[in-house]
Amino acid sequence: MDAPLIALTLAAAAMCVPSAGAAAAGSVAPKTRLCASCHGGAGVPSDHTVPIIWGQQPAYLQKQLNDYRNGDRDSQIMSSIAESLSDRDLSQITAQFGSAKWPAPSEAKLPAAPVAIATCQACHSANLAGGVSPSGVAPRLAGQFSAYLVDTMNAYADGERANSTAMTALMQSLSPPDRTKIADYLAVLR
Amino acid sequence: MKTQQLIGYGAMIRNLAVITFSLLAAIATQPTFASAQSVRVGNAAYGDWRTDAPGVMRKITPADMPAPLATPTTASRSKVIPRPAGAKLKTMPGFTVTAFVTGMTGARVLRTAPNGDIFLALSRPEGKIMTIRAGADMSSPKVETFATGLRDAYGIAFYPPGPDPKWVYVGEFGKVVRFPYRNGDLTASGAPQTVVSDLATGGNHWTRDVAFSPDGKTMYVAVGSASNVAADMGPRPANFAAFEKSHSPGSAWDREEWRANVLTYTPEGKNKRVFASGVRNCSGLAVQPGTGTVYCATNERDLLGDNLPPDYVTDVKQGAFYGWPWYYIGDHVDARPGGGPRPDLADKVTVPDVLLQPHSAPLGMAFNPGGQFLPDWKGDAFVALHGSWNRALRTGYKIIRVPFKDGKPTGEYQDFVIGFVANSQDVWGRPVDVTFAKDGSLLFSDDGNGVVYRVAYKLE
Repeated sequence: MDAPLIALTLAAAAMCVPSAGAAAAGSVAPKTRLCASCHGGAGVPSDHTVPIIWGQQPAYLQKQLNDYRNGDRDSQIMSSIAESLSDRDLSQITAQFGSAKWPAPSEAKLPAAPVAIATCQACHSANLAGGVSPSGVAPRLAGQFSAYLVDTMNAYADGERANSTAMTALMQSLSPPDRTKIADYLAVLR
Repeated sequence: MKTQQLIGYGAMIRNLAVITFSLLAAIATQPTFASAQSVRVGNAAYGDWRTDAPGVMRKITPADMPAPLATPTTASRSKVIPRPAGAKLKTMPGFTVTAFVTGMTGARVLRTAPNGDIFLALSRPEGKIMTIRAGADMSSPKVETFATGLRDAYGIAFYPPGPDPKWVYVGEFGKVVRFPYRNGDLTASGAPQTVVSDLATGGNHWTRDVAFSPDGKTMYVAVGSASNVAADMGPRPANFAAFEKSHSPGSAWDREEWRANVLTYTPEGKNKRVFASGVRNCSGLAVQPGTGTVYCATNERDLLGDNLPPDYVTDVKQGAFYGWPWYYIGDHVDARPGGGPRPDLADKVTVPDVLLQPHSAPLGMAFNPGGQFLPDWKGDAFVALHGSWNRALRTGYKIIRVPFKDGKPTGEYQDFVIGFVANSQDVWGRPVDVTFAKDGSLLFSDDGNGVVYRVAYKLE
């Protein structure tokens, strides 16, 4: 009955993180094992409302963990976990995940780009791989799960997620169907 | 795990006396009842969703607690799926569970108005209060919108206590508001007034439950901690003696100030006081009928391993300290909080009454006023367990009965409604709150799929 969970845990233990040097991986391994249980032992979460973090912009990951820790972003699970990390753990973990290879891209056919995608490109870079932007380091969106992206866009629009004023304003200007179109496009972008 | 039905026995006993009635329960439930008679204790009391069964009794004591990290800490987030074809909730023999109202996205707190109308808070994304009116037999429920435009709408309380309330109080983001109300109102007749505007916000634990003492003089407001265990808390405030005096001993500071507390105010929102401290997250308040004693359904801390620490249900004593963040379940030390250790508090920790399977996440509770369920169950508490994430195998995701004897909890509890866990990842419901309807049946909310369920006791 628990085969998937056991498999997941084993995978997590074995390869939970992209090793950025065996020594470094070893020191935070017990903590990254926790990450792997939801974000995937090989970088692909089984629940598509959980984001892919392998290959994500490390500075973005670092900001999110800090925001969870200090209460600027709210999640029962992530707040507890972020609180348990020292500053050093946090830098090390985000560097490791950041330097990992983004997992296998979607094979689906790319739909026509929604008009509003240009707005995303302004901060998330032309290829939507994220990077430095006027409002901080923007995360990679290309190849992220559609379900996660829709949830996130809605959460910004509803005020449930409030750790980027730029995103709140932008998402409130998009209708829910537009958000879904954008998410579906981003999810298959390589 | 098979649940027996009373079908077939009903006609047989219809005219029998009350004595036979309880005997019938024993006959009809034999396999389940056998396990119910022996209370699971020690390690067996912990278990997980695979060994849950309607009727199972458990008793967890502080002596049963393992050492911290006796098992590694695990994250196992549940994914809510629609009800799988054929999936059914299981309850005890003689009871039925049916979906009462569906389509209630974000369904959280449930309260029964004195006239029998049901109030339901939809917390997120938009905070709303809904009203549900059904027939005397609870058939044909109709839903109306009482109020919209709230943020994190949660606790609901009618004031003054008694048959003829004039206000409906609602706990929300940073405040407590009240709407004018007369019995029978299904939509609010006026704009809300803000009664309390200084509740802490941010971080974890956004629920704010509200309740009144039976004499109507005291308003209780439960405010959970901002963090898991205050790891980032700084040094103690200057003039610490004055801080402890104004906040009650055992209260935390910095962004935990006025949190992990049960607070009291007057119904007008004046005279803010800490009623009890160290209650990590009292997500559900309930005032015991008759005694007026306040109870809390409380979520304890994370990341100490699968079987530590127990969540709990307890009466909340004025001035008592329940341990968070420095201690759990009595004087068990947690070394993680910032700001230094607190040996001065070690002998001041009140041990809670009823310990629950760790990480079960008890959210809402209600006392059974009697009238429908088994006569022995009058005065018992029923609690909704939202379910675990910080455990390898799930606990919670069920409704439990907490038996009371002579007005006090016995320390045991019983699995009452189970069945939301589909497999090791997926669940199809997450129970949040419970209320007893006017006819004595139990309603509970599920914010996973936005459903209010009804549990009724029927002999046929």
